[in-house]
Amino acid sequence: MKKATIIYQSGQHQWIAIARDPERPNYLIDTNEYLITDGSTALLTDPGGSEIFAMVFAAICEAFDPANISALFASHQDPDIISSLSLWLDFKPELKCHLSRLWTTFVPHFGGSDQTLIGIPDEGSVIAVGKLKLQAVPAHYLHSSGNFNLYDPAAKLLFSGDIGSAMLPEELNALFVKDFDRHIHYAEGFHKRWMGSPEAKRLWCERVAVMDIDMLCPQHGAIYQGADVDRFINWFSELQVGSGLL
Amino acid sequence: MNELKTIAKINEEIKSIVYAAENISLTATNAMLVARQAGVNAVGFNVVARELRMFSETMAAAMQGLSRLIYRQVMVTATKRHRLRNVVLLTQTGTYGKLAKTRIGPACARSQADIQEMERLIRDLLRELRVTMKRTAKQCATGLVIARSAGIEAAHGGAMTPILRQIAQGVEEVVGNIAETVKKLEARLTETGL
Repeated sequence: MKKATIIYQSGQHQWIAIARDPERPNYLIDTNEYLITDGSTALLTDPGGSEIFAMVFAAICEAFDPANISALFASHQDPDIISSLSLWLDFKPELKCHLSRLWTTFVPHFGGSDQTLIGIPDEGSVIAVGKLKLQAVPAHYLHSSGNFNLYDPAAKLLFSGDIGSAMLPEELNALFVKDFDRHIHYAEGFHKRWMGSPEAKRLWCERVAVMDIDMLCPQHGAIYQGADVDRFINWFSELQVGSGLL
Repeated sequence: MNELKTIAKINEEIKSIVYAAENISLTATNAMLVARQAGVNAVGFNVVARELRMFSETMAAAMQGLSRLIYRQVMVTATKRHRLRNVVLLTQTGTYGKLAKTRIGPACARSQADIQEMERLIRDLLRELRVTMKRTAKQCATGLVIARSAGIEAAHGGAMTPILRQIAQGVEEVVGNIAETVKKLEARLTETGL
C-alpha cells in the first residue's frame, strides 16, 4: 500500500504526499499524489491511474476522510494522471476535476461529463479549496500541450506535475531529494525526452524563478526542498530539451 | 468466448446476409429484364422476380433492425464490462481498512445496482433479438418458396428458359444460404445465452 506523509502543516492546512507503494507491479510507473487540505475539505492532485486507485484511496484513508475531498486537479490528460476518474466518480459523483480546457473533451473517455470537468484557461486560474486560493500555473508543452502546475502561495509549495520527475532506483527512493547531484542524473533522460519545447521550458523557468517556493513536488520521483528548488530550476534552464534530441 | 466476441461474430453473419440480400436484389432486377425479353411466356417469372426483389428488401430491412439491436447490445455490454472492472477495483479498495470499506461501500452498491440494470437491459435486448430472428426465419422460408417458384416459372420461358433457370437456381442457392445463416444465428443466440 502507498504511504501518506504530511509534508506541510499549518493549522488545518496540510499537504499530504501519497507515495511509494512497495507492492506496485513494475509495469506501472510509480506516481505521487498530493492531497491539499483545508480543515474538512481537500483537493487531490493527479489522482493516478485506475489500477492504483485502491492503493491511493487506502493511503488517503490513513490520513484524511476521502468523503471530504471536493475536487481533483489533473496536470494533464495522461492515463497515469487521471484514468482513475471514473472510480473517483463512482465513489463521489459530485466531484469536480480541474484541468486544461484542452482536455475537457478527451478526459471524459476515462469517465465523467461536462458537469465533472472544469476547464482551466491557458493563462491559468485560481482554484479555491476551503479558504485556500490555489493557483493553476501554466506549464504548457512540459510535457503536455495543455499542462498546469498548482501553486499554494500560503504553503509555498508547487505541485510541478511531470517537471522535476525522476525515475529513481530503489536505493534512491526516499520521498525527498537527499543528494541533488546524484538525484538529477535520474531526471535527465526523462526531461530530455518528455519536455518538448526549449521556449516553453525557458518561460516556465522564468515564471517559477520569481515565485516563493519551499518545495517543488513532482508527480514521479522525489520532492525538492529548500536550495534544491533553485538548483533544479537552474539545472532545467540549462538542459537541452526538445524534439530531435534522441 | 466473451460476450463482445460473440456479438462481433453475429454482426459478421448479419453483414453476410445483408450482402446476400443485395445480391438477390440485383439478380432479381436482372431476371426481370431477361423475363421482359422473353416476352409473354415469362410473365409468371417476372411476377416471381418482383416478389424476390421485395423479399430482398424485407431481408435488408430486417438485418438493419438486427444491426441496431446488436449495436445497442454492444453499448450495454461494453459499459457493463467497464462497470464490472470498476466493481472489482472498488471491492479491492474496501479491503484496505475500516474507513476505506465504509466509504467505498455505497459506491460498490451503486455500481452493482447499475450492473443489474444493464443485465436486465441485455436480457430485454436478447428477447427482442430472438423475436426478430424468428420473424426473419419465417421470412426466409417464404423466400425459399418464392425462389423455388422462380425455378418452376423458368420452364415457361421459351428460348430464355436456360438463362431463367440459371438465374432461378442462383437465387435459390443464395436464399438457401441466407436461411442457413439465419438458422445458425438463432442457434448461436440460444447456445451462448447472450
